[in-house]
Amino acid sequence: MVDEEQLRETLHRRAETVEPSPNGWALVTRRIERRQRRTRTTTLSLAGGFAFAAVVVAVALVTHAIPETDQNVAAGGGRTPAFSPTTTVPFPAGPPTTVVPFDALPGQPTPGGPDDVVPPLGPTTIPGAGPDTGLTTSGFQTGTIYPETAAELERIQAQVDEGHQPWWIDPSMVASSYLSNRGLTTADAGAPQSIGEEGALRYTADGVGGWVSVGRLTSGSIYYVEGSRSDRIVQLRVARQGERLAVEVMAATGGKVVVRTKRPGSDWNPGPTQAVAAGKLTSLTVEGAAGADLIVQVRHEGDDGRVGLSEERMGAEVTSFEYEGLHDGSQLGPAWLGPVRLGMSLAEAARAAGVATITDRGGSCTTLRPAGAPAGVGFVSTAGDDRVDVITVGAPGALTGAGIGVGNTVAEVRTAYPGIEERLTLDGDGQLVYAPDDPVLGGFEMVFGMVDGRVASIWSGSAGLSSTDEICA
Amino acid sequence: MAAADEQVQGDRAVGDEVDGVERAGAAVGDAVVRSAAPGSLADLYRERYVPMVRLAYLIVGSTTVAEDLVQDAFARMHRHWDTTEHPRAYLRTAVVNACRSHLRRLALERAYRRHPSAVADHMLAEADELFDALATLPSRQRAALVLRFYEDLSEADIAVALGCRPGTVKSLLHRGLGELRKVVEP
Repeated sequence: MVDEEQLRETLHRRAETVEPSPNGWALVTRRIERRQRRTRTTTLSLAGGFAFAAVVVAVALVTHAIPETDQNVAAGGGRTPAFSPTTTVPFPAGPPTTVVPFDALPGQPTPGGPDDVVPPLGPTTIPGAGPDTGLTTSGFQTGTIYPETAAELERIQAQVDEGHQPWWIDPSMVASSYLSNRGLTTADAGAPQSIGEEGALRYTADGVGGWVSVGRLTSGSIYYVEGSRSDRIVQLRVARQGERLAVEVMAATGGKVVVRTKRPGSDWNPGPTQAVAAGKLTSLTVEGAAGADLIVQVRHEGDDGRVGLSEERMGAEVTSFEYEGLHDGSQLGPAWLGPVRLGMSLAEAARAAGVATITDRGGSCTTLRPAGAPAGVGFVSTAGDDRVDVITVGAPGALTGAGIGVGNTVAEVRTAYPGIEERLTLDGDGQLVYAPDDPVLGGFEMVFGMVDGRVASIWSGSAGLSSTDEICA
Repeated sequence: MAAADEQVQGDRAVGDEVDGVERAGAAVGDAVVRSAAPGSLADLYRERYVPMVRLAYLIVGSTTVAEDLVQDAFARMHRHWDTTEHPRAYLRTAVVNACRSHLRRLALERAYRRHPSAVADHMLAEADELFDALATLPSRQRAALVLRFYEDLSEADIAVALGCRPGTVKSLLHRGLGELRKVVEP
């Protein structure tokens, strides 16, 4: 019989066996000194950072004048407004950011057998039709959305070769020009470092984040835009069904979705519009798509007035496409990380992630992790049914729809999520718990694990997750 | 030790040295704090370091980890020493929170690693049915039981330490004892 006295006796007996090391005080004072040094270093770094920022701003103010002049001397002008000599191209103002797919990170071995690795999903083509490379005689790909035709690309390349419009060799400015052309006027895109021949740039436009994929043929040629996606559009699938395109969209916030298509070099065709709820998959149909080379644009107009844009080119032979797999900037929501949603089976989650994954078993949990992902990123099944019921993020990269990620401060979380439930100590340790006030997402919550006043981890799961201490005990 | 004493005391406001009794009297329900408040962090260390390490050990099950967490709690306290009204209660809450944070991280690590955790190994290595059963409880239940039956805290004080309502403490204790009985007397 376990009675209270027995438990008391056991605890005291066990505690008496513990004899702490005699140098405890020396270790405490060493920690205090380390903390004081760290505080001083941080202060100095901040001061240095501000000084450096001031220099950068000054240099930027000087250098920004150059491309504007170059744009204005461009001859001819393109078919779209952004190619015209008078177009103002927004300049990148954000920090340099590039996308590195999880499975492309160096030095990350993939343990586990072949069964653990799920090949990524890609565009599906009609058997025998071959991929839609669309190579022209000059080598330019026509699978681009900005500029849209090989002729246009060649014309711009010729201008750049003559010294005009040099911003076409700056991927961030090409991305910004594309966003501007699509009506996102306050866009800014990351700096061009590490882009190379192709890559993706992080941008924010009117407070909504997203990615623009860019590429170029050789190291000396201009960049073009291959596609874009908005953080607001969590999931997108487009498939040809006879004469129609079947479109499935999931948005991070409520609002409406407009789907438009165009043949390269032509005007946009009006398309269907439909109201969408946050986190809910919505289907739309676009008529007249049989066998055409189309640019498909999905525009999300949120209830808050903000616009998100996702755009892909669908070559004549391509029968379907869906969002690229999970990446290190995937959006974290109360019920999803990128394309992976709570409730998916682990196999479904692996397919949706679209990158190589590792299945790990520990405690009572089975966890699916993107191969090479930072520690702490995982899709956890705690109930033994192999369905994802907790999503964890423990490293910088993924951001919530409100722009919060690992490393943000308590104040930043409070600003992003007014009224968030706080369970913090004076040290800034503990939890901040966000429970969405939304009929669809009402059953979920996001738990921001705080250490020293900063976000150290984010968990998404069913309501009540925050009171669960050990999800894998 | 003396040099360290001076260093820590030097960081403390002089005025705090004389208001210890008043601050101690304000610590309602905290049996330990009924004595005069420690004048310095070093005083608090001398008085509470060993009990706190033992408390942490009972929650996390590892002496090494317990010492690490308690030392860190002391180091954090140094920053807030001037504004901490009830140092002993603050220290205990910091230690319990650190233990729970440690267990949360451990749970996550378990989810990602194939190897059993060091704590689990440690606990399994020592045959003590009741203590081993305690280790199987969720950390909040475990902490509540340790605070009640080792620290002899009231439900109200446990609620403060765990950051929950007294009613929740009652439930945690009831469920914790129930779980222990299930394990020990199947």
